Amino acid sequence: MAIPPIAALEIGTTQTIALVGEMDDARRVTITGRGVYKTTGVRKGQIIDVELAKVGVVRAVQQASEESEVDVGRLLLAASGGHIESKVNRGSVPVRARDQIVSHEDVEEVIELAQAVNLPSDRDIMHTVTQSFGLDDQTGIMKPEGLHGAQLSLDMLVIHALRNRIDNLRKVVQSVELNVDDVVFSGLCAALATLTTEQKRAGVVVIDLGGGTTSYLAYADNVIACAGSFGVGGDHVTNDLTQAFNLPTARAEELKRSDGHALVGAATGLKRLAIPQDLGFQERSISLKAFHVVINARLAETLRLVRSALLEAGALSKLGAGVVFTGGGAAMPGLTELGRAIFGVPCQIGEPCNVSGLDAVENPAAYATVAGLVLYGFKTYQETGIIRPFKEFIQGFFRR
Amino acid sequence: MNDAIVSMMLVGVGGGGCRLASAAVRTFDGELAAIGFDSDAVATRGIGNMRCMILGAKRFDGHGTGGDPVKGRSAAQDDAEAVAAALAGVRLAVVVTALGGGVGNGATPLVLNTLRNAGAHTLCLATLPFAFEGRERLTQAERALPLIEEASDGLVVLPLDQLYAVAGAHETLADAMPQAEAVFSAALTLFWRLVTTPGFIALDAESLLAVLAQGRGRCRLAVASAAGAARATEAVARLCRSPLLGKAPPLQEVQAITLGVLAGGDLRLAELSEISKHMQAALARGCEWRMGTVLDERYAGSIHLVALLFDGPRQPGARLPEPAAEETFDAAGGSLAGDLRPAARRPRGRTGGRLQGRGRFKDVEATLINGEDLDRPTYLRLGIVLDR
Repeated sequence: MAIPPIAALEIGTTQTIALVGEMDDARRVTITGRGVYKTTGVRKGQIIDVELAKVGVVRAVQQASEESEVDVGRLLLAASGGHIESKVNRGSVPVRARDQIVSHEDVEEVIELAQAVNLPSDRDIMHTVTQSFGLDDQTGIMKPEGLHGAQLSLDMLVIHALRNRIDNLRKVVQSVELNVDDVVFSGLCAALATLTTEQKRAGVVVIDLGGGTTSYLAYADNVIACAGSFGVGGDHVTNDLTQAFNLPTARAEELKRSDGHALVGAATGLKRLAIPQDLGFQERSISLKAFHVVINARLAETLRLVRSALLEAGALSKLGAGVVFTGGGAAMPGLTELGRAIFGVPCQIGEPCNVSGLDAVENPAAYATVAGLVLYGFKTYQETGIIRPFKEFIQGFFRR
Repeated sequence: MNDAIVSMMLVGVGGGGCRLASAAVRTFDGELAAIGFDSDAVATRGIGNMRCMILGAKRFDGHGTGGDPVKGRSAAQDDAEAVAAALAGVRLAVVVTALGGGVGNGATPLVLNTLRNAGAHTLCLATLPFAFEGRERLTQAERALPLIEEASDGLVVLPLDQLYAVAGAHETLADAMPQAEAVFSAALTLFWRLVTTPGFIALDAESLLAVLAQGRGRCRLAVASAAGAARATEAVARLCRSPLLGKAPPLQEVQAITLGVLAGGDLRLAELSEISKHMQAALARGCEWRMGTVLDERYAGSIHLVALLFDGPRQPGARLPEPAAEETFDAAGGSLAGDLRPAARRPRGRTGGRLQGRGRFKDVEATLINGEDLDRPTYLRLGIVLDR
C-alpha cells in the first residue's frame, strides 16, 4: 500500500512554514511542497491573536499544497515555547517469575509505571521516551527481556506542556478547517531531521533557535537525556537592539540580519554602522562593536540556559558529537564559535540531512523542525499504519 | 573548602583583587578562608597562600583580558557554575577588587550576584586606580561602581591614592603599589580579626551580617592606631582625620558606625569610655552605634581602631563622577540617575511591577527564569555599558 503524502506545519514566531513530504518505494522522503508566510499574532511561540495567526497558516498551507499538488486536509503541528518541559520518571517493579527471568509482562508493567507521572492539572504529556532499563544494580540495559534479576527499573523521559497553549495552537489550525493529527515537540523534530545515528551514539545536543523560543534536545549514552524549551529567541535579540540603539523594530531586524555577529571581537571599536533616516528616527551611525556586544550578550545568555539544563541532566560532559544549531537563529555569523566557547565542544549548523528537496532553499537550518515533523509523520505511519497521536516511544524510534 | 560550611570568606577578584587578598592573608597570620578569581594564570601563579581559580580558561587560554571588562564578564560567565560551587556555603563574604581592569570590572558584579543568589551577605572593598594611571582607567573603574553597589550589601570605595597617602610614603613610584597594599592589608587584617576573634564586647560575623542585611550601600573603612599615655584620644583623633575617610560627607552625616577596638590586655576601661565618648561626639546624635573589642597580646602597648562607616543614601540627582551621557544605564529597569543607592537586597531583574525595558514583550507573559525577567534586554540586566 502506498504511503500517502504527509503535511507538516510550524507556526513560528516570525514565520509560518508548511511542508508536504512524500516517501518513495525506497523509503526516501522528499519535500515536494513548501509554503512560507510571515507570522503575526504569535509571541514567544504562543498564540496571542487567533485571527492574525491563521492568516499565515492559510497562506503557507495553500502555497505548499499548490506546489506539491496535494490537497492538504490534515497535518502535523510542531510546538515550542517556554511552557514545554521534560522530566525523568523512574518506574520500578519486582521481577515476577520464580526463576527471576524478566518477562514481556514485567517490561510492560514497568513501562506503564514509568509513564504514570504526576503532573499539575493544567499540563499534558506530549511524549514519553524510554531512556534505559535497570536490573538490580546494573544500569543502561536496552532490552531486559530474558535477563536475570530481582528488580526491574526504567527511566522514562516525559515531555509535557501546558494544555491551553497546545489547544490554542490546534484551534488556529482547526479554525481554517484543517485537521491536526498530532502536535509534536519542535526539538524532537529538529533532531529527527538533522542528526545521524553516529551523532546520537556519540552524544549530541540539537538547539533550535527560533524567533520566540529556543528548544533543545540532547542525546547522551544513546538515549534522549533531556529536552525542553525556553521562551527566548531571535525576537529578543531584535528587541535588545531596538532598545539599545533606539531603532524601529523592522530596522533592528534588518540590521541584525545584515550586520549581526555573535562575537564581540568581530568588529573594531572604530567601525560605524550607518542608520538611514526612518519614520520618526534621525539619520545617524552607531558603533558596530556595541551592536555586536548586545547580540553577544543575549545569545550567550540563551546558550548558557541550555548549558545549565544539560549540566543538570548530566548530559553536558557526554556531548562527543558536539552541538548542532537549527532554526532561523542559526544563520547568525559567529554562532558556532560562541557555542564552542560556551559548551567547550565543536558546534555546527544542522541542515536537514534525512530528507531531500530542501537543497535550494536559503538557510535550510530554518526548515529543520518542519522537515523533521514530516519525517516523524512517516515514521509513525510505518510503525503504526496510521498518523495519529503517538505518545509512547519505546527505545529505538529516536535512536535510528 | 568547598565541602565545608565557611561562614566568612575573603574573595579576591581580578589581578589586583587577588593580590590584595593574598597580602591580607599573609598579614593576618592565621586561619583565613580565602579564594581568588582571575583569568590570568601567570599572575595568579605568584599567589601561593590562597586558592586561585582561573576564569574563562576555555576562552582566553589562561591569559589576561587586556583590561576589557566585556572579556572579564565573559570569563566569569563561562565559569559561573564553578564560581558558585567554590562559594557554596559562605554566609558572609568580603569581596576585594581592584577596579579599572578587565576581570575586576567585569567579573565582580557576577561574583557578588552569585553570593547574593546563594543567600550570602557581602561587603565589597573596591579600590580605584591611582590618578597617575590616567583618567580613562579611572572612568572605566567608576563605571562598574553602580553595578557593584547594587549587587553588594555594603561597598567601600578606596582610591589607591588615599591608601598611599595613609602610608605617608613620598618615595619612588615603585613603592606606590606595595605601600597601598600594605595599608589595605593592615586594615583588612584588623577588620578580620575584629570579626573573627571573640572579644570582651563582641562584634562577631553575626553582628556584621545584621548590619549588612539592611543593605547599607556605600560605606567607608578607616583605621588608626596610637601608643603612649594618651593613646585612646590620639587614636580617635587620627581616625577622624584618616585620609581613607575622604573629604565628604562629614562624620556628622554618617548614619551608622561599626567601631572595633583592638588592644592588648593593658586596655583600661577608662580608655574604652574615652574612645566611645570622643567618637560619639564626632558623630551625629542619631547615628547608629556598634562597638566591639578584641584583646590580643600582639597589640599590647597600643590601641588600634577600625571603623566601618555607613553613609546615608545619596541625594536625588546625585550622580557618579563624570559619566558620559550615553554611558548612564539602567541596570534594574528604572532610572539610576535619581538614586544611586540600591534597595536592601532587592532581587535584581525581577519584574516587581516594573515593566520598563521589556519593549515588545510588555504585553505578554514574562519569561522568568531563576527570578530574572529574560524579556528585559540582557545588556541592561548585566549592566553592560555600550560605547554607542
